[in-house]
Amino acid sequence: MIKFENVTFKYSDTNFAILENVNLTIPAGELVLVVGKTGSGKSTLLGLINGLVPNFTGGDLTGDVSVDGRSIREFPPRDFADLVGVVRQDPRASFVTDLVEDELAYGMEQLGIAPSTMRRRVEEVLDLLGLAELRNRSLATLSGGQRQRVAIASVLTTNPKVLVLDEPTSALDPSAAEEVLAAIQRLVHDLGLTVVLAEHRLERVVQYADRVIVVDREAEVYADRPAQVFASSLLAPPVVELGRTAGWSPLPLTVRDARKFADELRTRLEKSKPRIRVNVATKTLVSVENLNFNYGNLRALRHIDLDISDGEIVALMGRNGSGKSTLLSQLVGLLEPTSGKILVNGKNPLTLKGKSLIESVGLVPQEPTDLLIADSVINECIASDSDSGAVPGTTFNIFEQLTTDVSEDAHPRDLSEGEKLSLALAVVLAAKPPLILLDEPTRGLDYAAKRQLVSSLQKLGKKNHTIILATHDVELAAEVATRVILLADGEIVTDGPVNEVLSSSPMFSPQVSKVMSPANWLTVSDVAFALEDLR
Amino acid sequence: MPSAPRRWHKPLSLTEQRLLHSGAWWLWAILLAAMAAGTKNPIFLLSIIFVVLLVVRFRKSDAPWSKSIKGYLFAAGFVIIFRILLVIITPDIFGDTLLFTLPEIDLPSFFAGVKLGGEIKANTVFFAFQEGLRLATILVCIGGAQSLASPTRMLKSIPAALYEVGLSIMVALTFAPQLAFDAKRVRDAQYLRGRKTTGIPALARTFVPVLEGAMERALLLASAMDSRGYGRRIHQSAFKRKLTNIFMLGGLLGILLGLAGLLGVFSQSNIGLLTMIIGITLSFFALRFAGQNASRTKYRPDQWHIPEVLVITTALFGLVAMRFTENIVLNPLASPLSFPQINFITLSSIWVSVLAITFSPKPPLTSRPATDLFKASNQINRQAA
Repeated sequence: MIKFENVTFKYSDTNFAILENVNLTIPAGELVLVVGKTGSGKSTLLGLINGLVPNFTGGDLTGDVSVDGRSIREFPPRDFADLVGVVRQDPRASFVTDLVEDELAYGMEQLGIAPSTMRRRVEEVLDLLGLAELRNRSLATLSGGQRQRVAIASVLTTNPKVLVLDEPTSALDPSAAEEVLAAIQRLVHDLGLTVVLAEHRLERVVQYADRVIVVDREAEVYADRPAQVFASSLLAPPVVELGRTAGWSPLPLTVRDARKFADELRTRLEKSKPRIRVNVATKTLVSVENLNFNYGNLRALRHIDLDISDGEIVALMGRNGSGKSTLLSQLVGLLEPTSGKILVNGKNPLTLKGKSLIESVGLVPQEPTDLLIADSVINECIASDSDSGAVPGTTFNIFEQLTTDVSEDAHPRDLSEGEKLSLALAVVLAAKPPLILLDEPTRGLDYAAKRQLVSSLQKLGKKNHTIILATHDVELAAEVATRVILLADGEIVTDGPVNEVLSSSPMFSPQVSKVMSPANWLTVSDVAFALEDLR
Repeated sequence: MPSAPRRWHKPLSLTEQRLLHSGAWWLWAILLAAMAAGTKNPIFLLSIIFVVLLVVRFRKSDAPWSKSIKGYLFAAGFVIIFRILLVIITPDIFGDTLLFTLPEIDLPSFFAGVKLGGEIKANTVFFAFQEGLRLATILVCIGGAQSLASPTRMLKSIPAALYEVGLSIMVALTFAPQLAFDAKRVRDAQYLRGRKTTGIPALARTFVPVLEGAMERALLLASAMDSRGYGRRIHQSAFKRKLTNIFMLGGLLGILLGLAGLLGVFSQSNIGLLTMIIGITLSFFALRFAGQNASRTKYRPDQWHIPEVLVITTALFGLVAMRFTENIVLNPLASPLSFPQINFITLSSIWVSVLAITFSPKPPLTSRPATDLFKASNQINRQAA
């Protein structure tokens, strides 16, 4: 269905080819997963399928890409509209109209499809993706999962043969992600659609993949069965890592496969216990009393009572829109509570301004680049030193500890997602705030960058910094958190130690816990540590 | 093969939930604005404002664009106050009812004719109020139309040849709120870095990232639209394309000359009328040709049905009645000061426009408030139990 022949591609502002001599054939009706580190060329590969790369990005292309015999060298992207449907990471950026039904019809209107056919197809696709009840809704009022499904539906109405998805679940909570992936799987099974999908959160998608394409700048791009790829790949979901650690063969790819081996591992670990993350709290750093917050008529937070001590790493979890980000904004004084009391380090965050604010609390926003203002890494660090009154060089030193091999003169925009996050974190840390807040830090991070983040956060926790993370990433919470708070509809549903909360929740339990239940193990590193002990 | 039905959404009854044709709301509002333009009688003008507000209250949708009426109301209030304040700067001499006297400020001689302060007379204030209110009423009418008619539905009703123009307007409409959102995000980040969020340097620091974000989004949207088939055209012969261009140019020229003629630039006024007609005809054909050029179709365009006609008719009564109303009633004198007279037939004809509420269907909901969802889930739980 899709053919890459000797494709080499180089962006005009770089001096290396991001893809070199790629030869791939993707057969019809398969769900293909594209994996690779950030910046390895996954998005470029996806963009080539309908010619958005190089038509919209510029750059030199040699070789040829064709879909169903139609070559991107001969046709512009708009002539692929009836053949390839493309859904971006953030569907909001590609919505053209303002109502669900109109958005579904937009592509067909452009192709000049007869009104009677349009009407029928809109109905079919609404049913296919379970959107019938949302047909009259304004796009702005949809939840994350609904928005992603509408974006998929809007490209399906033109009856494409190929669906290209760039990180469709990275911004979604686990249940919304499941809802989107189930819809995609149905398309592959029922309609025989060919789906090409890039995703960092492998634990969510590996079980659906028929084939995996590995994109790596240092090595050749290749495609293989998932079992072969993950036997050796550094990028692998936790369940695969668990299999490797325990020495299982054949390597399980899904939780279901892994459970067949779980009995054996549970008996081996019968006498061991997972490391319990405890911190020796000396004082209460954050105290929230009966906090309420309304957005207009919407009650975003209700009756929140919280006490958080120094050295705790708290994961705030819950659906999109459950009030996680709102709570973080309250803690840093960006929003004024409707009623209730917040004390951070003994002070009301609303009264803090300027230097006294950054010395008591720092927030890394969802889009870390928002925090960055300078035109190079080094200027950013100098600006941050002067903002916080730190000794010159402080920020840069912290940044170097968080990451490796970044040129001082690089523009912050050109850094990889992980490096951007490190820079923003370094800027926040320069003022030495006892409380650090991170909003959705693993969005767009690959496993390597995530591992780096995990170790940085653990170090900070040991230095008695208090960290609060708002995250959808169950695996991250399992790795670093000492305590988990589940929010739903602005209320605290559960608040407890990480082992108790995560292992008992069906939606928010990590893969290892799903495999090992009823035994209470959360992460591969815990299991590895215990196995090491046994030897 | 049986032919597909041509009308998609024939309403089953007048009360079925749907959006009224956007054109109908605009025409209705323009007729009301025309009424307002023809009178200075505060009672008539206030009636028109009330009619518009009532109809908006009962027939606006819950989509974001429906909130624009608020802004227009503020603007209207501002216009009235500003017009009255102007009286203080240039108090007219006419009138006989002294309201109060302000201390007069002597201005240098080159400000001849401008007077600050002095005697303020009720006649002048009333006159200013009337004028301000008239402009305010027209503003409210436009705001009403914007709140009642969906801008995107309106786009669907414009000729295919003007599609691009309409589309850019629509994209701009969705961009504006996004820009405000971006600005807030950048300001928040400045605050998080412990920097000042007010003052000119802070504004300058906000400006660049917001602009950058807007550019980026524009590019993303352009590529998304392209990959969904925007800009595909049926091949058209070079001859026909040239013909379209010639017609378009000729048509525009004709309309321009015609306008000049009607304004009396040429000695013979019928030349103006003639070129005008030729110009309009040529432009019409140019639009038709260009429209054939585009291969787009329309999904469920707005339809004209009986309610649309009825809604517009309601606004005609007032306009006709005003034609036959004495000038002294329409434009009450400010000097000598007197309570404005009312003609009951005219007043009730204006109020006929409020019947638009009963003739137009209720708009469907585009969002569901959280409380509704909550109720719905409760209901389901109860049924399950």
